[in-house]
Amino acid sequence: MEANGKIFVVVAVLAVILTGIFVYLFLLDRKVRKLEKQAKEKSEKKES
Amino acid sequence: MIKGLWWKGLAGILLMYAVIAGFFIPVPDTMIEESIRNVFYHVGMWFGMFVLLTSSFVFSLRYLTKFDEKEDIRAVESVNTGLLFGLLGIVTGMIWAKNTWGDFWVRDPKLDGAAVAIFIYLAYTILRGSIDDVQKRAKVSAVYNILAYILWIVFVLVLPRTANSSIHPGQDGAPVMALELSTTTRMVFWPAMAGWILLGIWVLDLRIRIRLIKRTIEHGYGSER
Repeated sequence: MEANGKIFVVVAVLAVILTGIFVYLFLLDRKVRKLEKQAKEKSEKKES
Repeated sequence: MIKGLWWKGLAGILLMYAVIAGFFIPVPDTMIEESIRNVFYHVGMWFGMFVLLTSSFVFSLRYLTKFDEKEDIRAVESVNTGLLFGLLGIVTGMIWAKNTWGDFWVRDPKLDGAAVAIFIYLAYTILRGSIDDVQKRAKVSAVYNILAYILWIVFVLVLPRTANSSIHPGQDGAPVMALELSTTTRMVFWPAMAGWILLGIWVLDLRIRIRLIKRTIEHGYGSER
């Protein structure tokens, strides 16, 4: 397949997209973690 | 869910490997030629769906043993994520089918079984939407979900194998079994499957956590314990 060349260009594009999706997921994960912490803190405050 | 970040990074590494190696390794010369590389991506959708639906089944069983609403949330989000993977599996399969068998859909026990299975789970989400009472909805849908899982196994894993006439690979007699036997192909295939499964679990993990936060907010703070 590499014989007719340029397939590496497609692989590079896919690699960038995949990296983008994973960076995005990590950021989303961090956001959710912050919200979890906030919700937990508020619920503890209310109980005490 | 699984603790820590390592498995999320692992999912990224495995899928990156699947994309890069998946395009560069030599593949066996079969009738479907280079399109065999789809196996690293299309089949991953079904592996992901299978794991997600199994997790949904387990959560529904757990709901019925302790009637904890959180288990119901975990079960429904597993189905939602599983449906996403299933629909992607159908669409990617249709593209591949068009270029291999000449049509987007061919009458085949494997394809029809997969379609029926998707409808069974779509019915699950419709069933949930039709019951307003939270506890009743959780109970009814947990029972339905257990039945749905058994039907899924029958339609996707058992019936196509007994039908003995499928042209879809993955069983004896079907063309392109050579792919399963090629060692280099296998060295990309299994890491890719693990990557897709982990990605599915990650998306599920996010969906569940968001729903639990929402629940804490809606029920008032302090109900979370």
